[in-house]
Amino acid sequence: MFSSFHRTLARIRAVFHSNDLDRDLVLELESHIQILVEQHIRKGASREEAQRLARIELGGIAQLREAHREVRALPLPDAVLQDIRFAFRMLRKSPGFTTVAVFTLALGIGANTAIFSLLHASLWSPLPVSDPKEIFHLMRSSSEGDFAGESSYSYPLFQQFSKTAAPFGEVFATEVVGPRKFGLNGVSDQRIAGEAVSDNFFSVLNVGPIVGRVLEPQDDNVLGGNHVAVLSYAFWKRRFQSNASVLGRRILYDETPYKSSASPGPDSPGSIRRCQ
Amino acid sequence: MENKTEILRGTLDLMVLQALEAMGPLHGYGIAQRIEQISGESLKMNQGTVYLCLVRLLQKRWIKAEWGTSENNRKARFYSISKAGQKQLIEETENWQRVSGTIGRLLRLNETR
Repeated sequence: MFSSFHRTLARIRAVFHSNDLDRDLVLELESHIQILVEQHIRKGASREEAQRLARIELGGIAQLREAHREVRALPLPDAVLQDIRFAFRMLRKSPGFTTVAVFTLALGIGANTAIFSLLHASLWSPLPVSDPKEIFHLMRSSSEGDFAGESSYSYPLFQQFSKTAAPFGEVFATEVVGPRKFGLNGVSDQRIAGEAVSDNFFSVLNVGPIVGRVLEPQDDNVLGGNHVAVLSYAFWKRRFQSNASVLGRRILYDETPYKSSASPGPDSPGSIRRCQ
Repeated sequence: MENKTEILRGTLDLMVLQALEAMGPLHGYGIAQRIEQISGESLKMNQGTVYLCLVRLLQKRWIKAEWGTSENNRKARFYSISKAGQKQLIEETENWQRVSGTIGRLLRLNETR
């Protein structure tokens, strides 16, 4: 129905032009009264009597202006409040419907929030490294063969990548390690997920330590690497209460003794797999 | 009549449209006059009520308004019916006749019993 659409538009506009519209109405009503007065005078009434009769015929001007404002503009806040109260009364009247409606809304909003916070964390918020746009994740593009779509490579291939890429940038390797045994003094007492990285991991990402040091080229000078571990800030804080005395101690990880090193900054990347 | 204004709202729209269709452009006073003439004593209302109806019709774009000069040389607003208003008038007239015909038959039916 176009007419009700036009009317709503006009009512919204009227809110902003209230004074003009009110002045128009007063002008109209005045000339209306004038005509009525002249008529009554012509019929033989005195001026006062004519004015009195005209007022009666037209109706109270103050009430008319008030009613006119209500018709032409949006409902007053009072009426809106009444509507809200009415809505709540109706909701209370049918608890079944209300429960289902509220539950549906809650589920919808919750699901959206969850998805968007996930996307925010994984896609939209920049990685806490110096130049996140410059990081690329190498992946096989072929859709056939044993390694289709894979992003794992042999160590010799990684070394070749590094050599080939040298003029443009650096290549670092990383591999997520699932939860493994962890402990001090050769005794494991909990399982911790880790990541095996090449020596240039921290230097390429430009992430430094809070205490101690991160990996250096001499940590990676034998095949398989020297067993040096860098603790994440969160883990260092949780397990060792941010105590620097853990530096240099022997730890057990995945049944292999490591020498603990330092923890990188508080917002160090959890896993470089997040980048493209 | 318990609630005169409620009934007025619908019928007054129709009467104003009809008046403008029959008489051409009129100002508020002219419309009120015309409605009083036709309805006589059966529809006693304040003439000012017409203006509430006019603003509603304007907002629905069924009528148009223009400032002009009245016959006694006063500034007055002249209202005329629009294309959409004419369509609405035809629709409403049919509607009204159908309803009043039905009610009329119903009441006669009760009389003859």
